[in-house]
Amino acid sequence: MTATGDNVLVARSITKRFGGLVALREIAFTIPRGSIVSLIGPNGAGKTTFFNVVAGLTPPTAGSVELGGMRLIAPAARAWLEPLIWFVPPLLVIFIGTLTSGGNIQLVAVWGLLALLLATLILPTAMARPPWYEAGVHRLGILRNARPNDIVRAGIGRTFQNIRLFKNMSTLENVLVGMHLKLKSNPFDVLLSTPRQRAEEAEARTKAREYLALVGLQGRDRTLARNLPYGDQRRLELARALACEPILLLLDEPTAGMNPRETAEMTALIGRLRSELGVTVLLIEHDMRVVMGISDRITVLDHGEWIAEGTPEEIRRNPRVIEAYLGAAPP
Amino acid sequence: MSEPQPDRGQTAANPRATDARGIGWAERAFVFLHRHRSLSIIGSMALVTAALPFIVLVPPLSGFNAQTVWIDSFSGAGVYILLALGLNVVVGLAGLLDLGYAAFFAIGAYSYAILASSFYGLHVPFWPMLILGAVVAALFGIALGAPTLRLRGDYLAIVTLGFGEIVPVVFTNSDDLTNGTNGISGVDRPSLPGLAFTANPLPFYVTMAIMLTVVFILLYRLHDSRLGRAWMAIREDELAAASSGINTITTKLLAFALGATTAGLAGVFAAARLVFVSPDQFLFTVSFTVLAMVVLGGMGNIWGVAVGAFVIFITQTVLLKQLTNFLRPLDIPFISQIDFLQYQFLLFGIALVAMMLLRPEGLFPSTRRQRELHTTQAETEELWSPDEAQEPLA
Repeated sequence: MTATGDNVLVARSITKRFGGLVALREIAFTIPRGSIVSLIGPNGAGKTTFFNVVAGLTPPTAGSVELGGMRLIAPAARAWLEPLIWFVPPLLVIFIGTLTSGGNIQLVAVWGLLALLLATLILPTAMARPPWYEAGVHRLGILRNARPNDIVRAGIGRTFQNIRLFKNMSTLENVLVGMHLKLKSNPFDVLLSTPRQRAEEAEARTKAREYLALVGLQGRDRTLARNLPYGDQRRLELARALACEPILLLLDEPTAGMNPRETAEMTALIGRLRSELGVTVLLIEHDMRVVMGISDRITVLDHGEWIAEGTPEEIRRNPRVIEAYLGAAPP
Repeated sequence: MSEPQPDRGQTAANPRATDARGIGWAERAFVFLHRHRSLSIIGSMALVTAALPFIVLVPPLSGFNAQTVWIDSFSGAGVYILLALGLNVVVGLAGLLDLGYAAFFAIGAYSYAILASSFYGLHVPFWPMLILGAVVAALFGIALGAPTLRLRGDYLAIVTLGFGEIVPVVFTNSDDLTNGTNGISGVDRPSLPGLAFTANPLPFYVTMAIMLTVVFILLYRLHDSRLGRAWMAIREDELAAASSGINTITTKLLAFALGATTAGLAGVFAAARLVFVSPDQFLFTVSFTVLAMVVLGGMGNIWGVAVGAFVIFITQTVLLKQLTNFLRPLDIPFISQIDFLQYQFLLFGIALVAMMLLRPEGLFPSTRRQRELHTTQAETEELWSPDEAQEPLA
């Protein structure tokens, strides 16, 4: 499969080992913009591992993932160097302070406080990872795996195989959390309750209601997430993932545990997301009717190996896929 | 003040709420106060502050203590309310168990004592020190939080416990810097032009009331903001929060720093009120008492925690003594011999056990917590699904 110009995501020979177990072996994968691509395979095929690699939860053993031409995920290199940036300057200050204060413990204490101040400036900055810090770290040759929130910032939203909502928050709050990166107010805006912050908050609530309406949860904004029926919880998770305005949406078994009617509704909804919001979708799914119904391309994994890729029609006829799913025909 | 509804801001956006025609003045006032939360906080705090000195003139309360003693113990209670409010951000909102919270209290108190006493001959005024003490405590909060907030649950609790032990030990042993076990005495009292903060406890009481009002307003604002939601999301499910774009480490760090800031404020005030600091004011019992206040008051509920802290402090310092005095002349065998003040931690422990069995959500629970703790068996199993342990957090 060749990487053409307009790909949202390009994964290059992703390998992931857990000890001796090879969960993914050199998986190459591209997702064209605006398409719905499915990843299927029997249990233990490595689908969720691949998802977790792309979502920044598990660093790959080898290989890289590019999103919109930006290299997002790669195995870490020289990551041990980073703590040096944090701790060397304050320690240096303490060291110099101790040498120059000639045994005067009160002067040492003042230097110590200075070092503390320096550390409290460096550490939060390093943890927020602003772009200039990232650039500097790259210049030092340090490569780190992106964190899940960096992945979201880059434009990937996801749902989970086992629903992970904020159960004791209302549906509206769940979606608002999803909009976290789209809201710009900082703690000082909040503390001072600036007009900008209030306007943003009101706007966010309106928009969050729109997302809820999109997935069919209108009028439920005060319901606690834990009190929603199962199918609605899946919808809410989808709304939360959409709220970060992703370019690429990762859906991990969005119809698992749903009855046929709910499944049909969810399938229609996913189709609508592409047509209305222009979202690209990567789907893991066991329900073949869903997969065959909405996918543009399907990739099949088995035991961590890539075994086939193609349109639903091609996949349906592929002998290796049939073998993986049904077992080899007796000789 | 009432428990903020999950969706309070809706009132501003919802046109129906602004349509006040055709309703009585009481409802109008209610709608007004609902929409102007800061005003209603200021109003209710002013009412409570004005009423308390007179309530204690009513028997039997008037018999317990003189009015000035009552007012003094109210400003002492204010210190603990501040501490409980700060810890509530860390434990109740962000869900980070902090067992060494007294350390930040100590840091606030010592920064004031060092910079405003005859010990070093420095006399920085109280009012800027209120800010500075809070900032120093926040810096220590960040310095402690930054390396440790990758830890979760029990591990974080142990680290904070260690920090809480280290700080008083450092203050005890650095004789040159902090006068060791003897502590620093002769700490400056605050002063305002034309107002003396002397033995009269009323100025302290009013200062504390104003500080509390400001802290209340700021905390409620945080609670219903992007940041408050991020904290709650981390408490609910850290992995899902990260996958929603929340930088979990900086968000947790901010909770830690804000908690420390509040403790620093409380520390500066406490040092100025008592005119004296020593390491044994900041032992583990303080951290534990404040944590118990947060839990008993109702974790996550701002005003619940404040009321819980107030009730516990007054019970500990005033009511137990009065109970002893009351029972002694009654001559009931055995019971009249007990000095309840000496058994306060026993009673406190019993109260905690009873509360956890009967009302685990606290006296004034936030609505969400109440529902969380009264779940059916099926829901409980769902909460403890083994999948949670399997998914790695980068």
